[in-house]
Amino acid sequence: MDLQSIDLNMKMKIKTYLILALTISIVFSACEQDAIEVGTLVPKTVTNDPTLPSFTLSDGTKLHLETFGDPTKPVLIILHGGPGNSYKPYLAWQPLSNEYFMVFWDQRGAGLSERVPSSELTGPQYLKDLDEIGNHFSPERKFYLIGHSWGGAYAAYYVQNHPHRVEKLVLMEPGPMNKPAMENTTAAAVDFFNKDLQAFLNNSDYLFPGNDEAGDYFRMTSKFERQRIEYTDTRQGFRCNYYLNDWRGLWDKSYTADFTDGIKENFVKEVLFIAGTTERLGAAYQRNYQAIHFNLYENEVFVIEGADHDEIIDHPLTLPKIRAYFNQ
Amino acid sequence: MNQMNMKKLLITGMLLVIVQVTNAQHINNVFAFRTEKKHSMMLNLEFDPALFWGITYNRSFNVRLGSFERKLTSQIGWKTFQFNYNDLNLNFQTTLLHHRAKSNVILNFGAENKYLENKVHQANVYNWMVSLMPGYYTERWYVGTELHYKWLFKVKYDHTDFYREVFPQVQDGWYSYKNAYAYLSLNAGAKLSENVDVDFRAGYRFYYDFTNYQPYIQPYFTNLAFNFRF
Repeated sequence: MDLQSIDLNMKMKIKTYLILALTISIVFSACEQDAIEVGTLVPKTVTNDPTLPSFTLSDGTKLHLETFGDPTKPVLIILHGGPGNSYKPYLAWQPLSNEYFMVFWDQRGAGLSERVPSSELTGPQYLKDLDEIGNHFSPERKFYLIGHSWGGAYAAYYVQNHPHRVEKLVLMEPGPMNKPAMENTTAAAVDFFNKDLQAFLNNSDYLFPGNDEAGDYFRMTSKFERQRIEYTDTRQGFRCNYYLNDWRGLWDKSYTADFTDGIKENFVKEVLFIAGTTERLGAAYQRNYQAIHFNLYENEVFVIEGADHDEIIDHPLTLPKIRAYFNQ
Repeated sequence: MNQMNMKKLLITGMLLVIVQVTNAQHINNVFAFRTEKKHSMMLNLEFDPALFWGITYNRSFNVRLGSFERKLTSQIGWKTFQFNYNDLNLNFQTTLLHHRAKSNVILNFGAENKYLENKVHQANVYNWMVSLMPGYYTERWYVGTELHYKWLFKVKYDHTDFYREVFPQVQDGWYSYKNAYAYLSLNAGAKLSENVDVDFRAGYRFYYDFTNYQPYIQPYFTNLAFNFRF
């Protein structure tokens, strides 16, 4: 096409296309919402929704935190998984509030807690946070601790540093706690042609995690693809997951975190280990790499046959076992 | 309206129309600058790291811009792996120097529409892209380095009933994003016969702030394309 041959008719057509394009542009701009706008793609955090139950740490960070039960009873603190998830799935354990004062909370930068600078998403900061919560709700007495997945590793990390603050410890398929354990979680076989994996990979090139709202939305959409449909955790900390795992040395495979060193000597109490059998963090893994570092309740990992990593949370065998362990 | 203004108007118009129409990773139709044939069909295999296969129609034009005539090639392509996500792209390519010059730079610009559905939403994503590919281009083979910049500028979300059940306040509609990816690659190709050529690209994808926020995803990509001219 030679531009010199463009006639009047062509010029009119170009003008029409231009006007049409500009009109569509204006309409698009008028209708759009910014992905940074809170509460339109994922739920608001405690920063934007004052109706949510919260607790403010001494450094001013606001956590999504809820308590159940009589505050005069022994305190039981729940540590959720992730890093980055929320306490919602663990509300299945609320019946324990008849015997314990239960503290459910979303960790710093996770769930519906305030989003914080990335520099605050480190293990030492998390240690301080849990210590402050323990000291606030149970200043005089030791408290009970249950951790699931990442929360299990976090609980071990706390006990390693504050062995005299914890009365009883339940670890449910805890995430890897030291270098050998971390090295052996990454060898899982992947079916590259799996539909869900492909959908997840496809998400990755269009949902840019440019802000917390967009990042959390990205993380949640990929998790929904792979997790069971009843999973109702609707906001997860994208940056929290990234930086905590970075601190542990997962991404560069340096595996620098070690939550087991000296723990058996300093925390001599028995620990209840609970594991399912269907996923890579299940019973065999826990026996081989994790439980060996603890004095085990009943000298064995409590195994829930056929249950996966999430199903052990509200499995009918879970609460009776925890109760029996707490009451011994 | 003089000729220069007309050219500016035409280029601006093309850009605006492209943006509003649609945006996939492309692979440059390099040998279009070495032949007088106007049409070609390209079969494209892609790993980005999701898997894709795609088909692209190319049409070449001779355009007089500046002091010499140059070639402009347009591409309209579609790629998929499964039918619950598809990419549609519209690209234009030209050379910065005369199209017969061996040491040259190919400019590619265009738009991409990506459709994807999952348990949370059906999403229509609109991206801009622009790339520059300096290289050495002979009649039979070429090698070049491409820097490709992709800017996501609009997404339309329609959420599923499942997601509405777990988060009733979710809002459908248009959302804007302000971030971008860049792709750096090594490109090469060769003519297999007068009317068939093969193009290959392999590279690295990085987020605009150089942080790899998805360390569990390999940031590498490759393309392999076969081009049939007619």
